Amino acid sequence: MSILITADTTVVIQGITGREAVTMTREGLDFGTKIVGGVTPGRGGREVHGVPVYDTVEEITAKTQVDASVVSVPPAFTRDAVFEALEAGVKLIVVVTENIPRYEVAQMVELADLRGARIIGPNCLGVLSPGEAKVGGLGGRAEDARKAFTKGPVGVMSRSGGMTTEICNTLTAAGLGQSPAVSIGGDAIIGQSYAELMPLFEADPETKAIAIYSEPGGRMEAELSCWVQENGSRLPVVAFMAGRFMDEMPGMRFGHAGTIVEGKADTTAEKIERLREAGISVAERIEDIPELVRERMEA
Amino acid sequence: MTEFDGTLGLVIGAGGGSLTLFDAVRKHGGDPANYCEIGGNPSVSKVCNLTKLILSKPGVEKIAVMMNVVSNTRVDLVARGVVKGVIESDREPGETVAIFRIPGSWESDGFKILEKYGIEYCDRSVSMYEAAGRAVAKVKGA
Repeated sequence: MSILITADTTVVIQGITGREAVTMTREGLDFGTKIVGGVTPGRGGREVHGVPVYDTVEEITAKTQVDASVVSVPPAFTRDAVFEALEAGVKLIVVVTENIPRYEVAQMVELADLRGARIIGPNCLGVLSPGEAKVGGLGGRAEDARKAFTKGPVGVMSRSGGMTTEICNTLTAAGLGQSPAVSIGGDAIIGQSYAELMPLFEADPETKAIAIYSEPGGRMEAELSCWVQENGSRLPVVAFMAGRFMDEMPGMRFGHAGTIVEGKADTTAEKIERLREAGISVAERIEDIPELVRERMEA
Repeated sequence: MTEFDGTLGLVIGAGGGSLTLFDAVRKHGGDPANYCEIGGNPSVSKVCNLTKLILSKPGVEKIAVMMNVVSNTRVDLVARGVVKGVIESDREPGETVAIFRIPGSWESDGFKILEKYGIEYCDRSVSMYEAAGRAVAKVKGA
């Protein structure tokens, strides 16, 4: 069993006729993901790589069980698309769209909470469970995804989509597989943070350690530190901290929308200290992650 | 694009990759001149224009083109764009590009283009940190 998604997870793609979504559909099918339908209002009746297209999510849920949805629609329509999936009873929604107004993201996250559903993203590449399924663009083409991702004991979470693949590829090269990898999104407000996903990994017998990518800005690392300490987590956590140079340039913005240093607590120096206090190992280079993970797993 | 005072132009990406690579360049003692991000599957013309923009800054001796292992960005399109941008800036690709480290989708097509123009590149077996080190060494040796 993998967390969030398995080989049996049924998936719909909202916005399936868009350029990125068409690619994602091909890659997902090649990887083995069970894509049961796509949605683009007004395009019902068509097919994308053999996947039937419908006008609404409800048309699909009326026929079959839908476990997850990937939302790949323009920012102005994302909130409505997510609301539609939530009201149709979909419990896992991966939002890949970037540049959604923050107020609308907050509304999406709130409604998901009320419906007992989880949102991954926005501005993320999704979830990949090696050998089982991928929901979202993570890993790219199936043949590329199989190179970088392998099944194993390390749960990976990352605010950066690209670095999710980089970290998993490094773990794979060192003989450490993943269980699975989650690109959680680079925005200031996201559906599921490290701390909110930790209970799933904690409860998953296959997961033996956690590796995360972190960067300046936001309270997510502090929340993770608290969670690990308060719950006496059985899982050793290794964090890679990027953007250390930003500590010397307060007020500058780089990288993701959520990468904003607003106060001292947002600097990498503070974050590193906070993580270490919670017993989390901090890696300076990506290539140091596998060794730290192994050390901690064997300890 | 962000400006600094050094001699190495950075064409890097994406959101998290650029933070990681910038740290790596600095850790090796490198001086970035400027940097631009090339995330999200850019077109050949976009990469070409960004490369020209980076090279247009006085004092930029070489550029490093680096990203994490990419999923939805096509390596061949980035390679094509960089080569085009360098040539249109009246520079020699093999001399100007210190290192090209973008492994991932369509990499074999991309690497062929780089080979043709004598550009040093590396695949996923070379870490981002190591690639940054090679770029810095080349600028310092120049």
